Amino acid sequence: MKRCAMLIAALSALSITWAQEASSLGAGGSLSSEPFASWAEARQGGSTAGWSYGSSTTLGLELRARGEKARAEASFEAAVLTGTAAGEAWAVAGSSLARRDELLLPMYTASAAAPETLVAARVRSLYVKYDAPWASVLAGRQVINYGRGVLWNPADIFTELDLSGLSPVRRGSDALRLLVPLGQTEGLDLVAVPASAPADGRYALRGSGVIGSLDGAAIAAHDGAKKAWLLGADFKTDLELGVVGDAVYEIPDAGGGELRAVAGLDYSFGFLVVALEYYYNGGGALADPFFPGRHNGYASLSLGATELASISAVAIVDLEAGTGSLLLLASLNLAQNADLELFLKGSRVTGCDGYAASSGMGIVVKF
Amino acid sequence: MKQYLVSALIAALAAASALAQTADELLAKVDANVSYGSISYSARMEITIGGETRYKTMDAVGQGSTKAFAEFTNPEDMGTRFLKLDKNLWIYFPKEQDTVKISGHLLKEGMMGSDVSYEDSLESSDFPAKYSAALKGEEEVEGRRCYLVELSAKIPTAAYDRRLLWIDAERYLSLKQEMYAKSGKLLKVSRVLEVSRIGERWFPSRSEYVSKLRNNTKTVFAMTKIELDPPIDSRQFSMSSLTK
Repeated sequence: MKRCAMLIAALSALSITWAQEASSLGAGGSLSSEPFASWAEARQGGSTAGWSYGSSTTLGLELRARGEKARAEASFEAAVLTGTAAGEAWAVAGSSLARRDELLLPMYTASAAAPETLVAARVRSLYVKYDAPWASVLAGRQVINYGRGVLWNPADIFTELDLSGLSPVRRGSDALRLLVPLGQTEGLDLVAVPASAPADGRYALRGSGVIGSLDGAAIAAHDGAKKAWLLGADFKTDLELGVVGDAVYEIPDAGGGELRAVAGLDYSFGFLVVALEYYYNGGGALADPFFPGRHNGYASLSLGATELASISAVAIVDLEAGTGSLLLLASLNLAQNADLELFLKGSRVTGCDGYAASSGMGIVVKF
Repeated sequence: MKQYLVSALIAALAAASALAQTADELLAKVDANVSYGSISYSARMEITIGGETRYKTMDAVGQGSTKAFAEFTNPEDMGTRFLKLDKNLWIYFPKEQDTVKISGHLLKEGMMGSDVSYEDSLESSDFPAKYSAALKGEEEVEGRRCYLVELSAKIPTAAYDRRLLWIDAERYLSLKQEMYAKSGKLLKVSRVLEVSRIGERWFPSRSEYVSKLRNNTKTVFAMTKIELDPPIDSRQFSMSSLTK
């Protein structure tokens, strides 16, 4: 943790130095507000049901400095969460699914267990990049973003998927990275995500390239925390419909092995775009605590009613447990820089064997 | 009588051949006028849907008809980049630091919500390789005398089955185009609104596109700072440049 803070402080100082030399500076961001109402029912230990309310107001800020050979980028996010949103974030922070990159500050607490108002802050990205003629070096918090799947990317051993919002967000990793282009579309990518003890870090080598209409990559990695080697591959190809595949085989130092793999398709019928994915998680909760089921499915239907309005439906299901969520979302572009979103989300959750639903609206203003 | 018929047939065939040749020559002249070894420009795209207008701005470079790179500069899409290499198209989203290959079935969709499809942006200007041309006559467009040329697809991968081109008789530019599906349905209409003199050439610098598959929409694409055949580092057209 201390090392991480030092790394970020050093990167910030470096960013400022480079930014002063840079030929262009830019800033932007967004402000979104999302009030909602929730209904939840728990059947375990006697049936209980009830309504609750919450809201999430998020400010995102992005800073960029670009020069001929060096670049620095930073993006920060701060959110004020109230009611149910605060309670849920607080509960996640106290569980094994806690986000390692998030700082939560309770502002008002009626009871120690569930704060009424919470400020959540995180550094989404903070990195510098230097481009030498033969390679690029990136250092700092960045979204590594391997894999080709729309939702699941088992071959991306670095990136954590966050589904708490209306659309999936991939979280950044504090990494040192060397990118070596070998041609127009081919390249090598070496990544190190250090830990206090070097042996506990994660290290990977990935090679990628394009053959015809097939984008493919192969990865070999060692995860020091899990004490395991990982071998993986991913591809996307175009057979008029898009086809993706993404798999990783984990080989623990202690022996054995487990596979996690994704197969997906996407196609469009006029203005309707369909994406389907199947995720096999051979390692269960230990391999992927966010999707512990062995067989998982994802389906997305998106209809562009006009260029300013769209409707989509997204289902994520644990096919064995029969749990999951369904999100219905309508988006309307109100102005050059403003969007309105209306949503209805239903879910069936394990543990309390109950159902939950929430509905609300979001307004996003970009600047 | 038989002799007269044969003579008439030969004459008709000769005339048709001459017209076809003329259409091909016209296309070659248009091609010579608007094709380039390389290009760099800035552009503003105005997308009008109903009464609402949204704009997007970009900086772009291209090499021949097979390589292109564009970066959006308007606040909402700042840093979003496109790379075209032959028939492949990738988009880089800076916030997610993610590069996505565009699937073939999406290539007919409007690029960034505009009336210009990804397929239009990928298309090379090499019409003679994809279409057979026929001169249909002369018409006026915006007060200018134009040759009307009909293009019929001769390979299945051509973006449109049939196109009508109104070619400016003096400046050898296509001032208006209509694009048709195999069913005969009109899919798109484009018009040149402004022409710039760049060196010895006439170049379309402001054009309007109207997709007939959408209701009440149009996109005006205006180019500025146009440079034809500037030196461009070939590394610009690579996957690594998407994330630079």
